Amino acid sequence: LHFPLDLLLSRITEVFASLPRLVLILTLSALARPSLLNLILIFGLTGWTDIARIVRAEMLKIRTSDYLQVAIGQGFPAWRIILVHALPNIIQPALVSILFGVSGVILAESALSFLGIGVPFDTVTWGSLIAAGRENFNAWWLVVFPGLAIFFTIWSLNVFADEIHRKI
Amino acid sequence: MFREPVADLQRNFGSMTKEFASLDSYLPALRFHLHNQYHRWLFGSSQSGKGILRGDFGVSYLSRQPVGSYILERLPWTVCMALLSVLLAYSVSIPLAARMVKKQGGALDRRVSAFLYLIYSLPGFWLATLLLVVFANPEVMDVFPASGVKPVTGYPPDATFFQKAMISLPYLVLPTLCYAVAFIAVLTRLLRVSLQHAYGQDYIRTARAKGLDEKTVRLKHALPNALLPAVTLFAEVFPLAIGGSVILESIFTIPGMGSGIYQSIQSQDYPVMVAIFTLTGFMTMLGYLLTDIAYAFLDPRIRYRPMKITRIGKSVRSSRARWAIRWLACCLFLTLAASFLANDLPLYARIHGHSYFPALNPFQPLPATVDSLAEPLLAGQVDWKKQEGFMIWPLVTYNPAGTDLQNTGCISPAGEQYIRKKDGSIDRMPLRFRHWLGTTQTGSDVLSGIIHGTRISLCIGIFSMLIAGLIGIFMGTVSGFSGDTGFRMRSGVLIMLLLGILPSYFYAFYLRCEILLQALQSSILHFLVQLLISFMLFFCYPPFVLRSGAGVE
Repeated sequence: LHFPLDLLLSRITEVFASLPRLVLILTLSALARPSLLNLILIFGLTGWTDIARIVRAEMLKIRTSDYLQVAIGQGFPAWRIILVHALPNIIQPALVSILFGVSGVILAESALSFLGIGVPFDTVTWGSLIAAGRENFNAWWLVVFPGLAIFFTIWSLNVFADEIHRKI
Repeated sequence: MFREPVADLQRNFGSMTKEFASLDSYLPALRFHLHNQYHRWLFGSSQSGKGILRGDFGVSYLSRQPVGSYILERLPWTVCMALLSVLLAYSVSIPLAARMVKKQGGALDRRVSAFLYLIYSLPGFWLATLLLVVFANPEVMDVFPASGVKPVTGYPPDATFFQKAMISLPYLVLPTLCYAVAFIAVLTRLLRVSLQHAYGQDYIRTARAKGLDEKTVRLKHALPNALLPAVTLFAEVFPLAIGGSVILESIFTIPGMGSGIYQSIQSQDYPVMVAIFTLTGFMTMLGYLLTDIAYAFLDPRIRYRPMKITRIGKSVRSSRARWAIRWLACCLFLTLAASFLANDLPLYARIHGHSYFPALNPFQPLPATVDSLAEPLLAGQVDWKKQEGFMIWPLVTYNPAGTDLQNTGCISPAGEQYIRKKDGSIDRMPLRFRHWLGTTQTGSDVLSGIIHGTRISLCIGIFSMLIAGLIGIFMGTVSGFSGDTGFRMRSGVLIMLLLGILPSYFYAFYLRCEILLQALQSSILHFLVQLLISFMLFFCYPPFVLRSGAGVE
């Protein structure tokens, strides 16, 4: 009996991928008490789909490679093949998408705190500073400096991820 | 106890209060009952309307308006904006990418690449705010109106469609630009990579060898093949056209779907939420389906494509990467050392011959002699700026959430700042305690906020992605290891139905969590029964959830 594990996991990944993420976060943060831990959990539990897809594609690619076929032929258990033989070759592409994910999360988080949801009310973040600048158009320093901080961080993460990707 | 939960909700939604109901009051409602049946939600019944399959999403709790007409009212604006911006993005990106690839590595290519990187890293809401500050600010340039989509007084009564469009056009310029900018960056990079790839192919060499002129080669041979990945982007545009951008729409106060979602979530208007979620989910699936069909249609070679080509460029020069790594290291340092860099407590203070470390240990008790107060205080409660003695201050001497009463109301970085001395007199701010980047309306320090904001943003980013990475790598390796590539059919209908119900599931799980916790404290049998009910809930449906969740007596 062949259990269609790939089919099942891919469908689960697709369901999670087609969730409108930002809207989901809006819903959840309206229901749950705003806290940093909640936000981390929400972003973490919804943001893994891209990584899963890329890792799956890599895995499919190296599954046909000789060294993995040898390992399978030697009769190693699946967990050992995945952990010891496959994972070290997969970890770099996964790292790239994780880094892109970090920049995406930072962007989403600052957008959320710009709207005044997500993080607790009295926490000052980049987004909430920009939001304060919206109330007073003449206070350019409230918009420019936090914006630059976000911008440079996102830019650096993207460039860094790109660099790793180029090295692979 | 109510017999007709949905009807009850619709009748008096405004006067309800939210509270947790006791176990007994909601347990009977969890039985399978004639009143709550999933098929009624889908197909409709005499009581609950025509059902969503025939386009009846019910009645909004808040405005008592049919949800269908509510959505139809908002849809045109969102679709109009999305289409305009996509049109703009495609008409800018295609020629731009073609130009860039025409002379690879040339000055234009390099500069535009760098510029695209800048655009790509711009947060949309920041750009929106900046555009508003510059172009909709009476004190700088009052070119475009700041909010809305039409004049407050409405259109003239006998205006034709064309006249209405002309009136609304200035309102749409800034939002459309904001929408388009993100698209342009992604699309151009995508096109550039695929054009570059196309130029390396054999058929281009063949075309050149045939003696075709360069223009024909470029337009007829390279471009159509390179446009393929850009089709992928349509799958992402489609749900956006319906879902709208929550953030941009609420900044520009456009009465579209995005702000509709925001409002309905804020007021817990479930029929509207479920309707919009279902629609967006449906559009996502439709977008994917169209993309798949378009792919197979455009390129017979493609059978199966596991991932989209996005954001992958090859033009990063190492100096740029070095600066990026420096900045990231700097951010990491700020994250770790935020409390010692920006704090309203000194790092070290020496008063009356005693040493204190308030920033390190805010709970250190102080003798009554400090601050000349009767009762002894903790180190974190003293206003150290009024103390006299030797102190080593952090770089920024303010807390992000603290308020400086002498400098409220958005003091600019260059403006006059004041400090209240110990004897009550107000003096010019000494350089040591200056707000280097100004203050907010409530007098909080901006630089301190930025430094502490780094900590929050990086923590959320890194920790959430650690979780996501663990889950993603696990799912990916397991599924890839056992995977067979041949089978690739999207069970779209199933996913679509799931999507419509998922938000309610999350709400249900949230409620169940509290109940499960309570049950665990009382007895293990109780807990198991609750767990069983939780699993049953998973196969049930929104009216159920509403009944158990509203907690109305």
